[in-house]
Amino acid sequence: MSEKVVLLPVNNNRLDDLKFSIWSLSHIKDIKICLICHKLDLSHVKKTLTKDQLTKIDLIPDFSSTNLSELLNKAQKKYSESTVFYRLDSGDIVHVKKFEYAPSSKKSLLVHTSLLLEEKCFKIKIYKGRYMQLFRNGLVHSSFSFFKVNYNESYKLAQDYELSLKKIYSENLEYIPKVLVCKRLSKNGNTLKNRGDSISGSINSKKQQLKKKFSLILFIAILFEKIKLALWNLKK
Amino acid sequence: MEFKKIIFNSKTIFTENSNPVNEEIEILYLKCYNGLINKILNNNITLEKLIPGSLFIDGLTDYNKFHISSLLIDLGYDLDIILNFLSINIDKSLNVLKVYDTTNMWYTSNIHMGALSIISKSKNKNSIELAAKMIKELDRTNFSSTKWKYKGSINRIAAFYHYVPFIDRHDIHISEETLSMLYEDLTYMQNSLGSFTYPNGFSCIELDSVVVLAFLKKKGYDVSKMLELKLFNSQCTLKENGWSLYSKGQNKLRSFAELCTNISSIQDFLWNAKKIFYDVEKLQYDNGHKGLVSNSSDVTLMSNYFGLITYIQLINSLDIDIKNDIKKIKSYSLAYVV
Repeated sequence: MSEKVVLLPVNNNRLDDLKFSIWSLSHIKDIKICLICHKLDLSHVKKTLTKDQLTKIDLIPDFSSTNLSELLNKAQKKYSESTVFYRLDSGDIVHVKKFEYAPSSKKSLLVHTSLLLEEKCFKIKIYKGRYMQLFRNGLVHSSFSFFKVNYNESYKLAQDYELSLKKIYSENLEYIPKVLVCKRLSKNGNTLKNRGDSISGSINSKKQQLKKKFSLILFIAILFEKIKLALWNLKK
Repeated sequence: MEFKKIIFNSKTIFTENSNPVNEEIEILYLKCYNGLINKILNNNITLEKLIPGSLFIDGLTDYNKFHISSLLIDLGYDLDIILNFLSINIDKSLNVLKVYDTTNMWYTSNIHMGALSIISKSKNKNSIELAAKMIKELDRTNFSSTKWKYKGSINRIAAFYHYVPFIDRHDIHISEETLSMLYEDLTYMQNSLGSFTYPNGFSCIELDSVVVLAFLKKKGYDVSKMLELKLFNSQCTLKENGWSLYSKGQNKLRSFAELCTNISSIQDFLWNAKKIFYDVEKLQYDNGHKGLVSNSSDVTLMSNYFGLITYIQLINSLDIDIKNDIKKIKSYSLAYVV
């Protein structure tokens, strides 16, 4: 049986939310948690978690890099080739059945429907196929599971979007239409804080695919995102 | 999870523009909820400080007396002290089981729950037999209300829930017809977020539904998926200071759209629609007491008490072994875990 490892990066801004994720994961047997300290001192994490929780966390790598893609790659190297990785963030809550699903092949990226807890309400994020994905991201990276992958280290943000787009275009994306994770969006989280950089990352991912093979819809999607970025910069 | 830190992290009491609660009955309710939460969180409580030696309020309704009696029993008071304090006796308890109104079974079942806790605690064989007889009567009507306004799944689940502690403790037979009706009710009630009312749960009904689900599981019904989804919901809705009365749901239109695709009875539809568009915006009064007021999204002693028991019931019925600072308490009523 494959080992199941949760890749859980945590930074200083989301340290308080970590208790929710660790609590949620503690309802599930036979998983390992790999906490990745991102721009965060290890001692802060140790103070946040109880002794009992710390004993259940398999690994706390203390890497010096601040590039999340690099950290995610390094963390994966600690485990065997047969390990299935589950990408989560601090504050995420998991359904007890989430870890019963795994990608069918080493090339596949398995994703599922997610719940987003925003400031005012919950939203259900549904993947509506390749073309819709170009205009509206229906995937939440906390729904990703995979065998070892190589995150593109030139991306400081949106590295998961880049990964998913690559898998969509190589037809290695598997989708489960079940809500298995809840992502708590925090004002301090990277997604909202660096919205402009995320859009830029998303444009670059699309450009990469466009270089491989021209597609009109991809071209329109890039234009669309450029307008979105311009509007965002104006608003700022 | 350290619930002690979470629950007592910030203000979780009822407030009325931050004014202190001053009516004696309301203070008693606060003390009861606070005492029970402390018991669940393994904190020592001094019972003597909770209730005065004698009854202080004239003209308490049967509803209030029996409702409070069940809280006091769970707190661990001797039955004699409770009966003396509330000026009730076993005969009165038996009387409310003999003569009752079936118009609104949710209301009546609240009174019955108190009476049944007293009878259970008394361990009087004849009284237990009489109570079991009454439950069999109610089983024939599937615990449903007789007035049109109060019919429907939500009312039935909320009513049946109040009898579960007695039924489960004394192993009283419930007909297959009632059980399958309750199963259908809950299947219909659970929404895509995992809660049992719109927009995303109401602490009382969540507890009622989860306890009835656990009871159905014990009777052989396959409800594990529903319990798992509710566990997910219970975790998603936990805030920095606990569980609120109503949790955030999807936006109003999406909630309403989902409700429209899932109508089983007009009463439930109207009740849920009112919750989505009206109730979540207005002040909430626990048991109708004007001092026990809160905003719908506030975390109160009652919502945390219900949230904690809901969570305990969920992990208990899903056989999840988790280390935390909460424990099951010996209960005859609201804190009863199947």
